[in-house]
Amino acid sequence: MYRERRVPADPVRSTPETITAIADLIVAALPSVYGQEVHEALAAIHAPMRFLVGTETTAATPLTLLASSLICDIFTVHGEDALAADQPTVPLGAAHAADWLLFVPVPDGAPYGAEDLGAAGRHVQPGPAPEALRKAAEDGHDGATLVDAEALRKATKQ
Amino acid sequence: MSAVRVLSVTRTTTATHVAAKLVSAMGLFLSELGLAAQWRAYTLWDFVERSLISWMDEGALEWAKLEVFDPKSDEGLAICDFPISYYDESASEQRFLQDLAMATYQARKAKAAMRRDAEFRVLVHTASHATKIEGWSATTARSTAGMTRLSSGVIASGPRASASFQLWVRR
Repeated sequence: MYRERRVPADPVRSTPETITAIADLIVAALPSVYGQEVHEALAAIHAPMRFLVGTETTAATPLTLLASSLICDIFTVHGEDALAADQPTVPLGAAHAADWLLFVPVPDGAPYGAEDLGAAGRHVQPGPAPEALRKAAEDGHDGATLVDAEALRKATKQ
Repeated sequence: MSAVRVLSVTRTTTATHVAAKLVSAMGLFLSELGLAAQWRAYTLWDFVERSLISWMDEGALEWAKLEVFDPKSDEGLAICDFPISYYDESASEQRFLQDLAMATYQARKAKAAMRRDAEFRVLVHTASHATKIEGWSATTARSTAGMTRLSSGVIASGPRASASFQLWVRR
């Protein structure tokens, strides 16, 4: 199932606080995954995350969480929109997921590259997520059979 | 049932916005100059942002500065000044604005002066009533003598404060 979530950033939160809020959202979405695993993966890409959030790249180009039947685009909102936004609810669909992937954008001109994200571990992939996945999820396919994180991980490294 | 939402705009929210954009502008500037590796290696961006928020919240941050310099000669190659202006509560501006593209655009004007092994540092100047934050130490800013000052503009603003961007480049 496809979901979108929007995390209020500045001026509600500083950049590191926003990154923590994103990590907490992912942890909450993955109750079968040890939370520290998520926080360690996000810590390994803190500099890219800082860039993406601080420059408001993620306002338009999301991080994408892929786990079991869940495909969730995570955006940030800034300025007046952040002040008016509700805190995002936990995206459902990955209650039993033991494996997960986070697609992280690599925009032109970014001070990091795909290789920096690749070095962050098996749960982080240079983004964006394949559009076919998002489309299939929007069309209502059963993500549990549609998405195999390990196969996708191998495919995106080729 | 209808919901009533109160938008709370305080000096803190303005400080949070402007500080985030200043630090991001520094990242964009360094990246455009080809100093991405130096940007990634710098582990104090969160600390800098938190410090800027704290000092802006108390109206004590007067300016921030990014100095890019030649480590051999110690001369400044490109110096970004970010002077801060504060407004009182009666100011009518209620929006949070940013022009981060300015950092990238201005950096292109400094590329000719850049060197691959250039280094950088972040400086601030605070008013006397500023809270002392451990980790910052006294220093002297590099001279801009012999450098050219380029055009400037507001790079981030909120209801209670704004930050301008002025660039000095060695030709």
